[in-house]
Amino acid sequence: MLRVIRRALRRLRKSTTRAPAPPRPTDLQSTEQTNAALRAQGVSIGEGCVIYSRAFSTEPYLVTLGNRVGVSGGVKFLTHDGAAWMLRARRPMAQVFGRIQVGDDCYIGENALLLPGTVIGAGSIVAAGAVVRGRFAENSVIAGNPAKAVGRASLLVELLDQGADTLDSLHLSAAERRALLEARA
Amino acid sequence: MTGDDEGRVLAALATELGRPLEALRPELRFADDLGVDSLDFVRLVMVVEEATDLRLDDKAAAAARDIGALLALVQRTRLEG
Repeated sequence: MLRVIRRALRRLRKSTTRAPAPPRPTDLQSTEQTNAALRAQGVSIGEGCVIYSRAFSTEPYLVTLGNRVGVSGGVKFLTHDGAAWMLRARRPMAQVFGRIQVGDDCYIGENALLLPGTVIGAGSIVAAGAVVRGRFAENSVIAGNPAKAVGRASLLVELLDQGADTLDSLHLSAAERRALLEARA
Repeated sequence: MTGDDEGRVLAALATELGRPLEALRPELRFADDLGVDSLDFVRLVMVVEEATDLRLDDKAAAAARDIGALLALVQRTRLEG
């Protein structure tokens, strides 16, 4: 009996100390709270953005996101170049900075790294894990390390739309989604 | 399709896929037979467009599941001018 109570207490402690879940895209209020907090740090954020990353570097005011930009978890915006370290003997106070600009209607995939000076044109998709530097035209799919434009985002959107794994499930609860996915397997 | 277009498309696909030209049969499916994922596919379409100097329709290109369908789309796009 005592063991059962201890186990229940342990479980309760575990569930109450867990970090709060990041806002879901459907949760408009928490999304707006997140965006407001990032704006307060200086990040320029357009309307309708959903941002799961908190890594806006030491100069968040150098990052500009357009309207309706989706930023996945683990994405890092790096607004300075640490290689300035190599100048320390001749210019001990030197630092190198660069703005990062993301156009309207872009999506930045999980764990992408955006380096200083990056400009991403509207309607573009950055693939997960891409290491991005430079200017990219509108409607680009940007992938790899170093990242390159590998095609049109509008084509990738069509592939997603026609894909068998694309489900209209965002409105479902976690349990409903699980049931749907397990029924498909 | 002009023989030139077909030759250019197949040569571009062979280079991108790292396969011999003679191995590229029309019935080969991009995903199931050639292991092409969506990112690979957008790159393939880009190189095909560069090789033929055509702009393929996104919706129609996304629906092309095999090499034959992509060749047919190139032909249609050429004819439509």
